[in-house]
Amino acid sequence: MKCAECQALVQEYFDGELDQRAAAAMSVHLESCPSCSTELEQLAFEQRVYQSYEHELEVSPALWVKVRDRLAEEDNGWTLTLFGRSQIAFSKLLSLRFGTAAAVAVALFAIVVILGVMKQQNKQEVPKQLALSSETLPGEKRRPGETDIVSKQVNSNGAEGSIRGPQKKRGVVAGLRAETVRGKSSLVNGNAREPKTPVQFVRKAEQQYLSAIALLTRDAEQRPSRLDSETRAKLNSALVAVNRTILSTRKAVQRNPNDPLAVQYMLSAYEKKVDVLKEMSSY
Amino acid sequence: MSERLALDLAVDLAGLERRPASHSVSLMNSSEDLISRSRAGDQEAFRLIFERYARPVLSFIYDLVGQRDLAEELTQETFVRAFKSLNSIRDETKLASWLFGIGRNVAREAIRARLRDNQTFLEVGPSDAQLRNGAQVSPAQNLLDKELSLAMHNALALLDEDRRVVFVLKVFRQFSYHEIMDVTGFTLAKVKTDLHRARCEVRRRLGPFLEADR
Repeated sequence: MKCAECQALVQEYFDGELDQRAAAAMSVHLESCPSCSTELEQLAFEQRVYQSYEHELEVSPALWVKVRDRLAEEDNGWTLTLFGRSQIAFSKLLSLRFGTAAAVAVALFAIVVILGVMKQQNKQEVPKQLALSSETLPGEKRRPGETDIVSKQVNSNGAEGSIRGPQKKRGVVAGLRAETVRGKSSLVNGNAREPKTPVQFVRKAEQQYLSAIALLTRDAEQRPSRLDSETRAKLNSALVAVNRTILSTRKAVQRNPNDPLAVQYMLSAYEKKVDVLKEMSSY
Repeated sequence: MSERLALDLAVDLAGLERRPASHSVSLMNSSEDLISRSRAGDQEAFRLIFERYARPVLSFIYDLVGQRDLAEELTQETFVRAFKSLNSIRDETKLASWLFGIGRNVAREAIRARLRDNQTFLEVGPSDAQLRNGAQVSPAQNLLDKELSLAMHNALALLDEDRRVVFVLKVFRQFSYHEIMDVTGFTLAKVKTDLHRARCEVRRRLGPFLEADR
């Protein structure tokens, strides 16, 4: 093989596109020709450099929801559950031209409303003795309509330490506790269990936290240059810790959806993440 | 990192929403099986297709258009079109090539629309991945990575559209020439020529950088 032939085929050889015979002929030539082998080395070197170009994007959690919603809206034989339809309504609300802060405020407002409704439901449905049996909720005295999610101040010293307090999400927790106890009492009485409405509320609150997190993540990532590296590193490590906590608490909730403590910790972790992202966005 | 987690959570949430399936659903499902079930209206199967391919398709489109927001919008359009045209797949084993082909067409339409409106479509700036990982490497390495990223981003932006898509599919995605032909509809000769010219152009534009790095 001559150098001209080799030069013409070196790209295909490097890309593994030559047949066995041509590749063997190339190998023989390359072993004896420093000029042609330099070209091959150059291609290999460039490939290594190009591989270090970081261009992989992570998929936003909202992307699938958007695809699914569009398929449902355009009537492609795609039907949605009731939960999915409520998600569409919520995402439409968020897609209005609000600023990020306004959208987050809407999300938090929705959570407050949901928890308020839950609290009201619990008042109506939970027998008095159950309402008084909150042995793990010290300091239960609350003003009417007060909710924990928006009023809680999160300790900024680390993600996991700040979510241990049992003072949070009493509405959700009480709802779930009531649900658990109702389940037990229905077993005792032999009655069929009622629908798990508090669980559905928790799911919805979770979804809304997720929407707020997606918005804040986007916002935070658009302005990292304003952060000095030390602050960014601290915030990133806080995020890592809180992400880990979210994952573990979600697993716990999935295993025991009626465990009030697991739900309480999970929602606290979400809230902590919102706080960290808000902190990142504020720079 | 955080979005990856958010995606995981979204996946989990979808799992919470799902009713127990009559048969077990696994990520080991073959493309043929997922396509067949999606065609029959199994939404879970199409969600699995999305999960499997959304990230590479999104990154591929981002390489073509250079803007994250636009890339997300076009990825959404890609999967909507894919669902609508599931019946048009001729070879179910080539699901990836088929999806990338739709993504390429969607991106091309967007690029041409923007060119008609005299808008630029490729922005110069550090990539999303770089921004996320910036704090995990040394400042010197971070600077070097950013320089490479900017140079690469510019070099891609300046490539002719056909050359860019061939370069991206081969160099970043390691597609074979025939897979590139499937995605683009180009002839083998055009794939080889465009790839060679794209490599030469990128080499020229990154020349000083490549020399310094070597």
